[in-house]
Amino acid sequence: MSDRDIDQQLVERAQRGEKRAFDLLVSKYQRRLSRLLSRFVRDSHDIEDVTQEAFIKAYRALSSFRGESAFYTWLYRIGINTAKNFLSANGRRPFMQSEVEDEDGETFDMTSQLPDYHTPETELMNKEILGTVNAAVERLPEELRTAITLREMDGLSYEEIASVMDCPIGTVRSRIFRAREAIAAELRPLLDTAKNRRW
Amino acid sequence: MKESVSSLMDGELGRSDAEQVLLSLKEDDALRTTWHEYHLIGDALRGNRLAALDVTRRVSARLATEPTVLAPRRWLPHTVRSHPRTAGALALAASVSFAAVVAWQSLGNGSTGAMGMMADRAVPVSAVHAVSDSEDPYFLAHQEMAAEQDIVKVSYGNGARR
Repeated sequence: MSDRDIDQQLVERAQRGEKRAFDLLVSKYQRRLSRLLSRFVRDSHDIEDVTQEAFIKAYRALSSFRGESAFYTWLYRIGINTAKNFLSANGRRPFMQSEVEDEDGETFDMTSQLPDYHTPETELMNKEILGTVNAAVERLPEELRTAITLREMDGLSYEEIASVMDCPIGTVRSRIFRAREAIAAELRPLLDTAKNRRW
Repeated sequence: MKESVSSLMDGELGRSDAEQVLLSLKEDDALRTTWHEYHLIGDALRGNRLAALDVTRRVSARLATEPTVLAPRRWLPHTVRSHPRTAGALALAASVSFAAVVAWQSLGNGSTGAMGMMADRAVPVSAVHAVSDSEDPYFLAHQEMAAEQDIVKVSYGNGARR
């Protein structure tokens, strides 16, 4: 089942009243959406608020979503208009106007050119998470590190990874899972600490 | 089951297995946490600087106060979506069928009950909405808001690479 099919399944379940299915979509897309919105909204708390509002609007409009576009494309459009409405309501303009999108509705990654607009607390938490994940990846056995990197950073399918690593697909499946579990084990204490924070 | 979640989010599960995992995700809090963690790891590996952002609990709390969406809508298969004529034919057939049912109930029963009243007020309607290229799914979803808030259409549609 492709990524788009999974989203479709989750949307259909949410349309039938299964709110937890929508929670899974929130969990999946919240950071990608917020990265997009950070092109329009400067303050980190505002980004969080607009992201939340975009998901609420998406939920309310879910009955009209018919799957003619990918869910995330539809969601991103809602997010962008939510951000524009937010800025308009607050008498502000987007702090960056040069957005360029690819076919997935995502902007080009220009994060290195963005000003550092995060609060110290937010920035610290972001750095801690990124640092923990990267350190955990570095500590992985090579075959796990290669598998998870090819999957998450290069977007290769299991079949392609199996070809690159010259091993069965089942081995790829297992290596990626074990890599994720190893990283998650190092991440959990940090996430538990962060649970009571706003970010 | 965690390994199945890992495969699911990579799009590497067959339909029946995927549906089984989705069902388990509905029931199992720990499995949903796994889903959340794995997606966070993916975003972090891809260098998303907003890795710490998490609105899941806030959105979930808001949704708890929202009316439940109970609008089952059969998704149009790709063959229908890509052939407006087929969709139009289906819409016409549905309209004719609906009108026929209303007329039969009205004439056949001669009823003054609820169905009779419906027949008195019946107007031709399209039970299936024909799809055309000119329709924007976003605006279909936000017509009310657009009207109320005077939102100007901004196209972020198909992207620069096309």
